[in-house]
Order: sequence, then C-alpha cells, then structure tokens
Amino acid sequence: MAENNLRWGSRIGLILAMAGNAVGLGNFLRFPVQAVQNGGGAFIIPYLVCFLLMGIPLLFIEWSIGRFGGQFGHHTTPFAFNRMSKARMWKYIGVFGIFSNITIAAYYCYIESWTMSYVYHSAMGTFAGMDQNSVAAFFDNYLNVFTSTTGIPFEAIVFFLVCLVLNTWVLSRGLSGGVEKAAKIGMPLLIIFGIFLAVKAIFLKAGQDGAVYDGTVGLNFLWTPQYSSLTNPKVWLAAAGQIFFTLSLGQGSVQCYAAYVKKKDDIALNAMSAGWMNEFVEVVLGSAIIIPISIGYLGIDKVIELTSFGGLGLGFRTMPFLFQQWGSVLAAVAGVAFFGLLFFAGITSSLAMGTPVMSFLIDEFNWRRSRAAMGFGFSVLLLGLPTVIFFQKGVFDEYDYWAGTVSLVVFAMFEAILFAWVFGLKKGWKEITAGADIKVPVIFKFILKYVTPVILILVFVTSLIRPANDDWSKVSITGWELHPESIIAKIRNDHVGPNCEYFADKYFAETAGVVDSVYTSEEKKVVSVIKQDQSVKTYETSMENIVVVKKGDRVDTGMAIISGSFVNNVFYVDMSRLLLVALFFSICVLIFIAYRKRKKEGTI
Amino acid sequence: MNSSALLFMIITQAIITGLMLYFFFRVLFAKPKVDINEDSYADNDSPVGKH
Repeated sequence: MAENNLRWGSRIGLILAMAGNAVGLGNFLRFPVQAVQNGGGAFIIPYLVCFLLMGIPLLFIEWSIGRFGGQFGHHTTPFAFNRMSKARMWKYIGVFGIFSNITIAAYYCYIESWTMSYVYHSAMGTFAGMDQNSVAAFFDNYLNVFTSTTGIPFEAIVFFLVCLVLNTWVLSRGLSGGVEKAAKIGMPLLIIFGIFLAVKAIFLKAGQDGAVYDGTVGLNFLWTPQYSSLTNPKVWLAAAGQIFFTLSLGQGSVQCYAAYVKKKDDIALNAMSAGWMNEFVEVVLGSAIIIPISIGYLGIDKVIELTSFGGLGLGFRTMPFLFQQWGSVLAAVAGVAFFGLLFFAGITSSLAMGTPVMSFLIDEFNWRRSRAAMGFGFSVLLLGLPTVIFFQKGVFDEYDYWAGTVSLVVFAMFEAILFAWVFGLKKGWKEITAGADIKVPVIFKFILKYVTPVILILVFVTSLIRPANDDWSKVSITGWELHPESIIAKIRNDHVGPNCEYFADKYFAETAGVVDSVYTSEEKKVVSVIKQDQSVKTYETSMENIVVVKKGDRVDTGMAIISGSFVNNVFYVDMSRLLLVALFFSICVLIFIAYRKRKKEGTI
Repeated sequence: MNSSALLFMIITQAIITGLMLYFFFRVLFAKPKVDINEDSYADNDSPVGKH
C-alpha cells in the first residue's frame, strides 16, 4: 500500500479544522429558521437535549472510530468498520462515509460558489438602488445558468468552477499545509465577521436606517420560550435533524480527520472543544444575525412567511436588500462580511468532505496527494454539473434529500449500533478514553449503549412514516396520509402531482383556480392562475407550445392547460436518483476491489 | 425584550460560551505528551524528528 503521509500540524489546527467541518452554512441560515418554525426559544431545549444525548455521543463514536481505523492505516469508514467487525456487510455500510461526502460536496460547492459570487457583487455595489423584488429576481436570474448578472457568460458555472478549483488546490496542499491553514484563516475571520454583524443586528434601532422595529424584537421572538411546543414530536425531530446537520455527523468526515490522530493522543477533549465551538457559532452568533435584522425591517409576519421557503431564500433573496438600508459603504462592508462568513463556513466544510475521498484514493489505490485531490475535484464536477444546470428541475433538492438527510441518519444509526453492540462498548469505551485529557462522565456508557442508538432508530423510523402536516394523532394501524417529505412518500413520488409522465404532449394544472392572465415575458409564455386561497400560481413554457386556456377560464387539478412537447421534472428527479444509486454501487465495487487487493498483499 | 426571553437567552448563551471557552482553554493549556516526536502533530516535532 502507498504511504499516506498526511499529518496534522498542530492540535489547535486540528480543532479549528474539525470545528470548521461542523460550522457550515446551516449554522447561519438553517438554525435560526428551524428555531423560528419550531417555537422560538422552546426549540433550544430539545436542541440542547439532542446535543447531549445524540450529538456528543456521536462525536465520541466518530472520533473513536476514526482514530481506531487510523492505527491500521485506514482513514475512511469502509475499512475502519471492517476492522471493527469481520461481518462483510459493515464495510459496505461504511461506503456511506464516502458516498455522502462526494454527493454533498457536489451541491454544497455550488452554494459555496453563490457566496463567493455575492461577496463580489456586494463589494462591487451591484445591489445598490435595487428594491426587494429586484434583489430576489437577481437571485432567480443567477440560478438560471443561461443568464448573466456580471456580463460573464454562464456565470453560475464559472463561479462553481472557481470554487471547485480553489477546494482542489487547498486539498492538494495536504492537511497541515492546506486544510489546517484554511481553517486557521477562515474560522477567526468567520467569528469576527459574525460578531460585527451580530452587534449591528442587536443594536438596530427602529426609525434609524429605515428599520421598523428594534433588533431586540427579533431576539425576543426567537428566544421567548413556548413550552407547549415541547410536547410536539415535530419540534423534537427538527431539533435532532439540526444536530445532525450542524455537527456534520453521519457523514464520514469526522472519522477521516480523527484517523490522523495517533492512539496515545487525546480525542475526548478535542471532540468536546470542536463540538462546543460549533454550538457557540450556531446558537450565539447564528441566532443573532438574520432573524433580528430581517424582523427589524420586515416585521415578524413577513419573516415567518419568508422562512417557510427556507434559510437560503432569506439569506440570498432578502439580506442584500436589507444591507442596502445601511448606506452604500456599510452595505458593502456588511455584504462582504455576511457572504464572506458564509463562504468561510462553506469552504471549511467542503474541504472536510474532500479529505475522506482523497484519503480513500491514497490508501487504497496508491494515488499521490495532488492526483487524489484532482480525483475529488473531477468527481464533484461531474456530479455537481447536473445540480447547477438542472437546479430548477429539482436535482439539487434530490441530492440534498437523499445524501444530505437520509444517508446521514442511516449511517449514524448503523455506526452507533456497530460501536456499542458489535464492536462492544467495553472496547469502545477504551477507545474513547485512551489518552484522554478529560475525564469522560461514566453516564455516557449508558447513553452510548442504549439512549443514542434508540434515538437514532426512532429518528429513522419517524422519517420513514412521518404523517401529513406532522399530525401524529392521525397515525393508526389502518393507515394515514404521509408527509411529502417522508422517505416512503418520496420514494413513491407522492409530491409529483398530475405531470407524472417523463415525456408528455400536454401540461396539466397542478392546482385548481381561475386563469388570471396569459402573457409573454422574456421569450416565454406565462399562464397565471389565482388559486382558491387567492395565492397565484404561474406556469412558464417555451414560445413553441400552445396555451389552451384563456383569461377567466376555470381550471381543475389535472386539466390540460398547455399543449406541445414537455420533459417533466419527474424525469430529472428519477434520473438524479439513478445517478446517486449508480454512484453508491460504483463505490461498493471499488471497495470490493480494494479489499481483494489488501487481502492479496496481506494488509488486512 | 421580555424578561423570560432575555433570561433564557442570557443563560443559554452564557452556558454555551462558557463551555466553549473552558474546553478550548483546556486544549490550549494541556500538558504536552512525554515524547512529542511520537504525537500526531508535525509542528511539535524536533528538527531531528521531523519528516
């Protein structure tokens, strides 16, 4: 086997890199939105409980598995798992630890490239003088790869490529010379930018710079405890989900970083330090930026409406407009600080996704470091381009759902069972405490053995069968309507609606309503339908297709409104799933080949 | 801010910031291992032990 000579430069560097792995865009965009949607201050209680019962134990498990595998020269989960149990299945379950990283990196690098682009646009004053709708439209245009906001053709692809090249270059410099240096620069800057924006947000005053409310109104909304929501399973599930995302658990990157720590060195204190650093960035800084600022300008009701579309929308469609209210210089500074901190949060995470892939290629196929980094960059490019080009067709969301959500839960559930029940808690506890610079409370033995696996199984099962509107009282043995985001409903494509054929000559109305207008805009025909709840649904189609309804017509769900030639979104959704399945099995084949190779060489 | 929100925010943030600083300083001031050339970190290696 090739010698893998990657090494950490310093312990602080390792902790900053590990914290950087955990601190991501979700700390600033997802956490506050989850808190708003799940009872404000009351969300924090289940969130911290989940951190103690699931987050910290999983951090111990992942650091231990990593360091254990590293002793045998295995820096990725498939062969680390294989060392923990000889049963054949475990090394294939370990494949999730490579699969998730490549797939998440494929769409994550795309979001990272948005932040890079928005730093540029903030600095150049692109958003100056734009109203809120124009800033939102700017983002929509940006996502359409065939439009350009800077004059650069295919701008979204260009920024994506720049971002990928940067990631690949840093990775090719190794751990101490690349990843660690990026974390040592990125993390302090991120915290400084975060503190600057949080101070601006908290001291926002009604009547100044166009603000309608004080910044503390947003904080009040976010932190007022609503204890009634504590009995709602939806809030607990959301809290558990947030812990996964925020700590980068169930992904394989923590294990890989920890695999470069030697047996005599501490992992328990390192895990706690990196974990709590992430919590500081998320709970203290993440809660004090976008919600106080947006509520200060838009009010609570509007922000609740905006958060229903997720944190990305609020961050990219709204924040640049709000910063403009602070005057041109401060708007540029705030824009650079906000998107800069998102960029640093993003790149320190995407580097962590690249390291397991690189380590796998170095360990198993004798690739040199720079070649392995290129291998990662090329894989991400191939897998990422569909998310860039077909973003609006739902490809991005499919990657995020299957790799960024389901895989994490499945992988974490299996590794918790492997660690506590197959490898055995006695050996596992020895791994956690070997070389430890802190005394790990004995209560964690019980938590690791029973509580964490049970919570993870519960999270997985509830994700499978989640009921519509999260109304758990409707669950019965006679059946119930599933939530469109539940795993079973997703597999069945319940959300697709009447346009369920891959290719069709008619396009059907997705909801009932009355045609409000039919017009042409930017080389497209547009049908605008007012739904029964008075909201508007628009359908866009190319100029070659024929609109078969007119203003005033009543349409029902499933009624043909346009005729011509169509490739429906379900085609792209199913193709992206096929691609992910093919990727997973391709990695399984590589593992099989590597295993045979190791057997032959007698290194396993 | 109402008093319950303020209290809840201050207590939560103080606990999290306190624990973050506590663990970080424990790392900063942790005693080095007896043989630093045998540890995981390249920066600790003496010039002879460096590779």
